[in-house]
Amino acid sequence: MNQSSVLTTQDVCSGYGTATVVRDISVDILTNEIVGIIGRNGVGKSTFVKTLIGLIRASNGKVTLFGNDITNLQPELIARKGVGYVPQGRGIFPGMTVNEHLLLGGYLQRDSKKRSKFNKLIFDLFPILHERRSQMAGSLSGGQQEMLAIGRALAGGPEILILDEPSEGVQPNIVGQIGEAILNFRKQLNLSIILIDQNASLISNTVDRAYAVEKGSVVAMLDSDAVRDEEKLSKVLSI
Amino acid sequence: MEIAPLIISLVYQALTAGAFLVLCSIGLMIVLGMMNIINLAHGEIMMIGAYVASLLVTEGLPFFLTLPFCFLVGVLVGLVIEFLFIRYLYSRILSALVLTWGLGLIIAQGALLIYGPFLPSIKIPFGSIEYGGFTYSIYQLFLIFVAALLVALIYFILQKTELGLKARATMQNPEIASTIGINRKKMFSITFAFGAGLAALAGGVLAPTTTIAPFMGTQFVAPAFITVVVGGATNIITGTLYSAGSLAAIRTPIGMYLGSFAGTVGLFFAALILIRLYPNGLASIRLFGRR
Repeated sequence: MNQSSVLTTQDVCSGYGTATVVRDISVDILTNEIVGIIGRNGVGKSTFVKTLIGLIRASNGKVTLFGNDITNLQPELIARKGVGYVPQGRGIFPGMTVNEHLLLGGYLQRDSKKRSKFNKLIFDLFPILHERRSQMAGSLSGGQQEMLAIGRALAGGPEILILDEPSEGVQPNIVGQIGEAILNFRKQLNLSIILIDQNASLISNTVDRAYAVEKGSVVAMLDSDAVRDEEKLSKVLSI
Repeated sequence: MEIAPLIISLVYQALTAGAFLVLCSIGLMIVLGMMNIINLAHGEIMMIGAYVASLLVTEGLPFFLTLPFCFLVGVLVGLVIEFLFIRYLYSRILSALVLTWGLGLIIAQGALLIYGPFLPSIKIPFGSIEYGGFTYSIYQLFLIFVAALLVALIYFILQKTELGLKARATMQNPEIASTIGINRKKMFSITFAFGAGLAALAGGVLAPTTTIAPFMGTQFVAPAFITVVVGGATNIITGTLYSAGSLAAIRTPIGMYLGSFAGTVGLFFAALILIRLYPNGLASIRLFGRR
């Protein structure tokens, strides 16, 4: 399959106040590709993806989506251009139902037929969300909340999906289920995916390749063979 | 004395008191309950609504046709206040409190300077009916209807419309809401303006029942805050209904037998006890297993 660039960054720097956390990160995500961004806690992975989606300003560098410059656009504009985001800690709205979350995500697509097609796909991927569709999100378990956060992002029909630590605080059997779902919706929706996680098994079972990050910079690119090597992965993740 | 007319009178008074509390607090419950902004200019925005009604009635417009204008002027005032001041103070609750207090003073003093100490009062529409030795104001019955209608309307907007869902999501987590395509600045602006519009509309609706003067807002602020705080922010609709309902149910019989002052004292005591028993508000009570 001929793959072209979906999201590219060139020497992106960002941080908080005067502290620079992300230093000159350049990545290239191709169509229908799952790319891992891996590294220990606090190396700047989440700060980097928050910069991609406009939650943190880039102090230097360039972010492009399908060749169009999206650096430092407002997050809502980046979301409308097709970047879906599943935040670390899930970011669900506790006082809203499962259905309301999917509705909210779906408003990014104006075509109601497309919306119902995506809802069907989400309920096929995560049947528990269909069972709990009238339940308040705050009363769901951690794993169910993660599925909901993924469902909400998918409902918007993104071109690229960014998942930040989906395995955090989730039971191991659910992590496996989430991994399968990631592979499944990549296939069905022809999606590009950026996956940040510290779970070696989730990374090695899902990603095609990975960027290893240390002290805010990319220090290595792990190809498909390297990401299947759990020993090598564990070294990068320092588990 | 016959028991049926007495019970009807008691229910009427309780509903009237509840409707007053709902109308006073309806704008505040949006701004405080959803946005966590303590808007001390709430009473003055209600006063603006009453002023719009009075000025337009003086110009010859029928009273009921002035009400949409009360709402629109309130929305406009809300948009200006939000755009100029409030949007810079969303994470600074105390600064917003001081600012809105100052704005309230400026609005009230401004009204005094421009229009003098009083505006012409508005004649209470409809008249009254008598039953079993008790007199009932038809306009008070209308106020009960308006309060119920506004609560139903707000429920519908917040629960069933795209705008309402987006506003609720933004108020719960603005950053995450923006990542699913919601313009958070716009949502904050709309929500504050809607709250101000409701406050002004309530001021307009209550105008015929009170003296229209620059500092008339003060009589609405205390009951409004008590209703919102007793109700809590967990769910603004159920919170307001539980709170206005229980406070009115306590105030009315005390007021009926011991006088209006004792009724107000009873309301304050009831509020103190309810806040002590339910610090998260009455909306946090689970009546049917789950909220």
